[in-house]
Amino acid sequence: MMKYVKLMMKSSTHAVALWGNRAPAHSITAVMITDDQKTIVTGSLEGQICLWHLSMDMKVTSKAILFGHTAAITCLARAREFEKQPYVVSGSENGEMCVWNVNTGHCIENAKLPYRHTAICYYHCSFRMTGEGWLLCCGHYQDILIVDANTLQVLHTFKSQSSDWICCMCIVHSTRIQEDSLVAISTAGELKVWDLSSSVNSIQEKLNVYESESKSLEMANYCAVRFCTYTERLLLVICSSSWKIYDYCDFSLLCTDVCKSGQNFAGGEFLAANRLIIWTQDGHSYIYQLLNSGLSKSVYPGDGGLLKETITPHLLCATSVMEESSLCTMGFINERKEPFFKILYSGDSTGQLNFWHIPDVPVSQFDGSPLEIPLKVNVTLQEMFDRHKSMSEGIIDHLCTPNEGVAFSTVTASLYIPSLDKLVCGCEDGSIVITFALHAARARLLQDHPLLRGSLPHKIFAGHDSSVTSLLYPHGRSEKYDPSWLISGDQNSSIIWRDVFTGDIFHKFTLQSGAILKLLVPPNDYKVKLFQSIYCICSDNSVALLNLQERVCFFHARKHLFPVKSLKWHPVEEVLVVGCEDGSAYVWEIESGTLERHETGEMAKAILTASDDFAIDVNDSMLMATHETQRHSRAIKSSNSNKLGALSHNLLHSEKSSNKVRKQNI
Amino acid sequence: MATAAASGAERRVLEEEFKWLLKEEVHSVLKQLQDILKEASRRFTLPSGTADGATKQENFVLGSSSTDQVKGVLTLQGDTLCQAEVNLKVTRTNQLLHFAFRDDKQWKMQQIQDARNHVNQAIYLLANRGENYTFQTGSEVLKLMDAVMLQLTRARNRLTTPATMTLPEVATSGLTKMFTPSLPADVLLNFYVNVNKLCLLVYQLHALQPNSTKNFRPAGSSVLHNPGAMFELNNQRFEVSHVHKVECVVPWLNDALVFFTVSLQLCQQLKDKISIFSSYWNFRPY
Repeated sequence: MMKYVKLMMKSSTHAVALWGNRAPAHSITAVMITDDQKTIVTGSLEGQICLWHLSMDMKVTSKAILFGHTAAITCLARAREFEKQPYVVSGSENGEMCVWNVNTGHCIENAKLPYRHTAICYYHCSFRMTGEGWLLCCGHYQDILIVDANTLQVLHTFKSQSSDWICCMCIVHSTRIQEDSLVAISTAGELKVWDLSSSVNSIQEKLNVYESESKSLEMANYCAVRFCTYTERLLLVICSSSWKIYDYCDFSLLCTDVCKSGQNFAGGEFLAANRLIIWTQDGHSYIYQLLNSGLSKSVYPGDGGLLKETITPHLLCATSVMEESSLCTMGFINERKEPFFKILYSGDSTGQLNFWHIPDVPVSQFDGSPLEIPLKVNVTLQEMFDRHKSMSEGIIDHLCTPNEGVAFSTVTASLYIPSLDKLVCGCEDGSIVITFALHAARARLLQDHPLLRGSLPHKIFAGHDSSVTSLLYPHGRSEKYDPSWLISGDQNSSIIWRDVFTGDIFHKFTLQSGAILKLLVPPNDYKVKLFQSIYCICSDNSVALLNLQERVCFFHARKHLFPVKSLKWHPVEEVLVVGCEDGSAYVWEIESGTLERHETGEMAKAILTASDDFAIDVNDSMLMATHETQRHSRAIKSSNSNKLGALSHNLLHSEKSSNKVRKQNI
Repeated sequence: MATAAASGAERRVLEEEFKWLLKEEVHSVLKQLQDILKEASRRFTLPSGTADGATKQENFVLGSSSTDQVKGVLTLQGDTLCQAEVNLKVTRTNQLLHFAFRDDKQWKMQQIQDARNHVNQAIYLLANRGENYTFQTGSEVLKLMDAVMLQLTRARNRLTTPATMTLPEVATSGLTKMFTPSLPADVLLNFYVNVNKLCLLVYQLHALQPNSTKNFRPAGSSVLHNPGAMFELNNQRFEVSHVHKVECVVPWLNDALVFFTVSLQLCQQLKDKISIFSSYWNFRPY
């Protein structure tokens, strides 16, 4: 029914996620199909990886969501010989790399390197290599990194005479040439070739290996390079505005075609000898037959950019698309032992997964016009959630009895108070629901809610007139606060201080600063004046200080241009140091409420690090409740009946929630 | 309840305004951003603003107000140092040393290359959302802005944060092998960019005797190692005796940094505009 998996072997904390009826946002940034064509892997902007099962009749069902990355996924690739071990590697925007077993959902290995990869190719040369092989990586750094597929440690680099970022690459394996090569194109448009199999020893001995050949292609924005394994001769190079075919033997240009205006090419693959498929960023794709015009080499000399023999592309087919879709990431897989499907697949930023079944022999229509290949499968995570609607309820949805009709509105903020075993949920309609956390979780997990329905003690507090955006239980942070206090902030800039047991409102503060994003307590060594005061971070990037006892907002720093990233309170100089997302620092004098300094760059960095000792924890309060330090993965079998409720909707739906979601436990 | 209190008419007006924002205002900001970033990118390829396509060479004389012991003349072509001449006056012997790049050698300033590539990435992201593209949701715009801002922040950080290196890393960086006459064993060099300045560090070393009573503690990674920093290379221990830092402002790096800052503010303003509407739609359609 539900499965949860440990990412770190050392860690003993098990994490369980309860999903509501709304699927978490999953803007697909990377997609791949495993070699056995049974598993589709999608990586998302939110940092999660989703595993989908692909059946023999091309039905797609979601299998698991893998947590572990704290930033957007930038690439996915095979990490072993797939028949031996079903391992896939993922890379993220902030340099994290994880190797996953896609059959079990286990994280096998993880590492954080200061490199942002855009592509990874697995390479193994069994008779020359010891170990599990290499992950050849390229991205926002110079040249090609060689990463050990087993340990994820950087072994070495493939160096270049004119180092630059590499934007795409492919491994050329040719029985004719008897040498595996790595073909890559740099951002400056230089095509480079490194010998792979003969370099294995040199790399293992840490010798420098430079490219064996290079050629300037004089275009920009390359997105793919592919070698034709059928002819072992053609090299397909795709940049956003055109695609070209080169002769791999001498890198002479054979054929070129430009992109329709308003579209950008994104990738492509050889389907067969002289047949290829090219796809665009917006999810269209085109199948071409390359027709050899039969001109001999002697007619046109091969130099000077002239075509030495003309190959003309003939458009055979185009795939149909649902609508003008958003940014896509696509791929094509050719091999399937049974029943031999050729699949074109795409995932887009709205979370849709699309499949086309490409015919073995694509042909144009009788009149020569291109044939349209229909979309075979279109699926989203939300559809998977909808399929099991009966089970998908929020964590507090069972509190309303059936005859009450409508369920509670969406939970927009939540807080767990371990010392009281209370689960506080702030709702979209402004009400706050308080219930016993373990009861609520059990009701969802064990499905014994007929027993608990209606009988579960809970309270509903009113007071807010718009959705609750932040909650704080100050006693959980510092003993100095009364254990009965609960603070809540809403979308309309109101903050309510009340009794968590009775719901009595002590005071309602109203700021004019947009939504209250975060409520924080000052560090322990604060001045007497700041005793029992609360920090608020508002959506207009301002920071307010509320004195609870005097019931006033006595300080409001409003000049920040960028969202607040860190808060530091300097007790000696009595200043508040605010660090913003753009790296700038604002120094506020609390007493007078004046801005003392505004610094950027190095000076800002120095100010922020100097007052590091006095940092106020800006992280989500969830983290405090669960003393969790290790990274966890949870693989939830959502194809089964497991979507049991939501712990907190707002975390799942807000844009940058990935790291918070990852850590929420009950 | 604010959301409910907003009357139907008010809501319609807001929806109209949001549509206008997505359809018109977003594109005008994106256009403005592209123009600024293209200017920034142009600085990296055509520093002096010439339009002949080829990257121009520029000479920079590196000096310091506090010392005249080191002088450097560097020729920068885009991201490449194609010539370098370094004069070093050794105080101990009063000897004047002169080194220059070998004719066949060039040195890539990785910081400049990375910054340029990050800006071009940002331009590419923006170019994919041209005037013909219709943004369906606000979150689409926010995602685009986040991606662009990430590239711009990285571009800026590359220039403002020089790499920290250990002394053995400096010694084996390959830079030392580029000079003619070759550098003496007791001199190390490093080039880097710090904000808008091109910097040259010259370390003078003295070898520690194997039986030295001095407490050997190898120095960690740093941009600049102070005298007294120790390291070990090929079983020989060294101590830094003198450090000389000379620098020169590169005007176009300054321009580029200003463009980055302005662009980042534009991005954030657009994000703020979009976010305002979120309070009326409560996360959902926006």
